[in-house]
Amino acid sequence: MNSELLFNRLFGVGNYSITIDGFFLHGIANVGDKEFKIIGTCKSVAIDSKLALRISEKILETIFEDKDKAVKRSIIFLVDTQGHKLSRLEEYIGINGYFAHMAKCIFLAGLCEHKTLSIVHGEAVSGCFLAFAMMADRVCALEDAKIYVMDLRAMSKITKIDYEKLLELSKTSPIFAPGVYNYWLMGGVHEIWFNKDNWQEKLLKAVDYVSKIDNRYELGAIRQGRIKAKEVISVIKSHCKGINV
Amino acid sequence: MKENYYELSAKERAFYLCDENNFTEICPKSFDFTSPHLRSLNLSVSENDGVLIGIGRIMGFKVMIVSQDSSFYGGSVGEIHGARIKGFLDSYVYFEPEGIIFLIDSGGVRLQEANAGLVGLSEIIKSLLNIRKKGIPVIAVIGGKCGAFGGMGILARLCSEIIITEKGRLGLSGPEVIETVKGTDEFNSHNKELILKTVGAQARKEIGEVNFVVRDSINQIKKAIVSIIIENNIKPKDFNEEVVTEHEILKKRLHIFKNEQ
Repeated sequence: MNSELLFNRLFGVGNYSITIDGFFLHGIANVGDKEFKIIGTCKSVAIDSKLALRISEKILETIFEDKDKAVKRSIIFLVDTQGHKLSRLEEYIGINGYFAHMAKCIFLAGLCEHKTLSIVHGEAVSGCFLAFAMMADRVCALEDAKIYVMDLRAMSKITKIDYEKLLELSKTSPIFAPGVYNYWLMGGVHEIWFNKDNWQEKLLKAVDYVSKIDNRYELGAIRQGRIKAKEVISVIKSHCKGINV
Repeated sequence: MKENYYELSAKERAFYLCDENNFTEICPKSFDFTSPHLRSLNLSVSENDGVLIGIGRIMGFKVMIVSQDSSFYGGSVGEIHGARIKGFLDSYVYFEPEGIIFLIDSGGVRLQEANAGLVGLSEIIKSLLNIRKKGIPVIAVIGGKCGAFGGMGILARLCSEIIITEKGRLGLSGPEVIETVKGTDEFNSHNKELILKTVGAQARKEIGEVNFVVRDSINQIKKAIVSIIIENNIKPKDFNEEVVTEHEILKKRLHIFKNEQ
């Protein structure tokens, strides 16, 4: 979906002022009586250390701009990325450090009472889904978005499991195959927005639902995507509680 | 006592880092904790799903220890592996530790259960940051066979401090992955010297990604851990301040590189 169409559907025609600078986008949107800060990426960019830093910079700027306001603006992350940039130089520069920094900035925004919400509108892959989209306190994804760690052919090559076998298993198991719905089952995506939905209404509701309590393992259990995590977490916790040190 | 960290198992590392007879493992097995996903692929499973957790004392300081087992699918994070760490981290309230020690030895998410692993890793990251917010230092130790890559390379940098041994490696994509996707010209994964120069301990130190480089020695790691805990007891790291300072450092680093190119 092109950016203008996306913005129109999310915020309403004329309700936003967003600058698209290459693969980076930032600006504001007004929906209902609320002003949102918009920070994001587009055109399935591969995020490098520079882009991760630009995202971080905009978040810190927002925290600074709102520091004396009684009510902080919610920050909406529009996520579309094919993953991080694969290069030796990026590794040398410390791309993992830049990603961690971006994650810290999003966490800090939450600490400073900004609500944070991600909308995956294109792709979200592996480390970028982890350090960018999933760092927000609520994650929404459009029906047509793509979320994954690795496509099945590459996965087959690395795990040395036959591609046909992976393909067959992916029909019944949500555990490794790409897909927004699979991530919804895991609890990693809070809600999927369908094309028929009114995304403006969805957005306003989603912002209301933003919570700092991480209940994703419970969602994963309820939705039967992650069948063991909740049980394991609770057994470990009750064991720890019973230990005297 | 064994001294070389690199050669030790996940259990031995936790055990030898702690004072004598002062490490207690938590939930080593005895539950149905093996991965149903690996089982469905007819792959081998492990009772702790590749991660050991426990509490102990290092030179008298109370610590919680997470130790990844790189001999089990490269220390990778699967559903249960991740849930064990999250459940343990969230139990910090019961222990009131003076530090949490994360013995990282992992390539990141376990591909055979990639979706569950990635979401699990995200949960760990949020638990970890919530603990840091309380002023408890989370210390990453990197010096095993698998280093710290993928999501674990990101997680390492979210810790309060990183201690890396001369054998440790830290990055996002491993050399093999870059070579497979981008070709040998971009990164030759057989060139050991090039790997060291890129993601090795000294390279990480030179660029400012880590503060503590130590020898491959239990004793050295112990000393570094204790110095961090003592430092933190005197003056706890302020998270807000750290983020702002780090931002300037990372900005400067990038500026230097872009000018050199």
